Amino acid sequence: MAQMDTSLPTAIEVESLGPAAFEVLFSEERDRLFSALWVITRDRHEAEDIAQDAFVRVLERWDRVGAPDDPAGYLFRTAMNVLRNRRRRAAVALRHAVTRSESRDELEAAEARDVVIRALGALTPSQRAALVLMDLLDMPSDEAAKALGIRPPTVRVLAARGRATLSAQIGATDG
Amino acid sequence: MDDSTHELERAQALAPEAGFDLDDVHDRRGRRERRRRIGATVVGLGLTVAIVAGVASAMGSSDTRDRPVGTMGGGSLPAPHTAPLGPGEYSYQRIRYPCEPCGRDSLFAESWWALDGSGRINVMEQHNYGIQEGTFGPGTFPDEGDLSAFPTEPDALKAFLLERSGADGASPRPDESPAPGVSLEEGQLWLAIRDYLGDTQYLNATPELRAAMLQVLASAPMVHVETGVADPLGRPANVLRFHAYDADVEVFADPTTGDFMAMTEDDATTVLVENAGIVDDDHSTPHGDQGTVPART
Repeated sequence: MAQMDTSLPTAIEVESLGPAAFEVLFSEERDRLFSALWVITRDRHEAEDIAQDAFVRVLERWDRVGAPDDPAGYLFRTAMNVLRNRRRRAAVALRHAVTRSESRDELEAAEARDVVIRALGALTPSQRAALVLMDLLDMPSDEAAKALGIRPPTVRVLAARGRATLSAQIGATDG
Repeated sequence: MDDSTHELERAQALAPEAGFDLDDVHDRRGRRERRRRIGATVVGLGLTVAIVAGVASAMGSSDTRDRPVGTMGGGSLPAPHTAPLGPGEYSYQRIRYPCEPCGRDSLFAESWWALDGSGRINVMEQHNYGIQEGTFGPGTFPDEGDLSAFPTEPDALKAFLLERSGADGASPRPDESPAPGVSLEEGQLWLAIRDYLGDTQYLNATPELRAAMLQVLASAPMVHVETGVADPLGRPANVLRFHAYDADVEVFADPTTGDFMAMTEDDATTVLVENAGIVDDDHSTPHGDQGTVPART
């Protein structure tokens, strides 16, 4: 996958986009959301499932009360809510994913060829989520905390522990 | 932060291509709406059944008297008998996250936690699951928050959890109802309680606190309580059943101690507590009265 711009965009000028606004949001954010979720979940099917659910919930809100002020931010917050609700539901998702073994093989292949993917496996899901929101998507800690349903000091602690573990894991491999 | 950002960007660049398009999103939305309509119909039928049965009971029909009616919940669990954790004692749990289609567990670990924040975590199996193994001195056991302020009296605990779950609380929860016709408050309670049931982020939840959590959960109107059942390992149990956030959930409680035993979601067992209790050191497992969840046989 090509390198992509990882910073959250400024609020989309929804009014000027007209009825195609959601489609624009989808085309602009699909890959970024999916790949961020893949880093957190380390599972292709789970990441796709969560990303689709997040888009559905944004679309439902869009039709009901109009576009949110910051559609991309709202999309990522929604995705984190969905992620929280499913954190331990991997086994359920597995039962519905017919190509699951392919997904596991993909992860193992990625782990084999890249130290950072392997190192991320040593972080808890909460630490991965905090790191992705703060360091990859560049969210301030209060916004990341809101997305994860925890207090800002907690998200900062999670991210700090995640950074330390990531650094130690990569250092150990390099050494 | 710059280093981790660089590493995360590297990881993100390795992600596979997303395998869904806009049509998939619209299809999923359609399925979700159909499920919602069916759910609303079932709730309506349940209400009708309850009303009809209630009227029949009031009219003195012997057929319906003293029988549980309809699908209305809000039951209660028998009062638990769980001793609080004392100084020098350890709260022990052996937890398994089964993953049958994987052919292995996502996690199989045991932990000992003491009131001074010391303890030990032993990991037998983990797959794609980060958990810190080792022996920890006072105040260094890995958890995501001090739980000493949590009340263990159910009414006080419920108020405490709801306050934490609010927009300005310590652990704000999404403002989304768990199912059609079910209050936002019930959903917030469930999301708040779930974090302490066999989750490795809060291995410092004591058996007494877990039992209180289940008492609170059982009091929610969406929850149906059934006593005298068996858990996924065949152990005697009480069960709390409900539908929340697109999943049919079963939470099993020990019939005597009230401690958490197991959870299923959409009929798949997602958490199993194979053994739990209060022990005297960080290498023992419970025996006799020390057990709050019996070891699997």
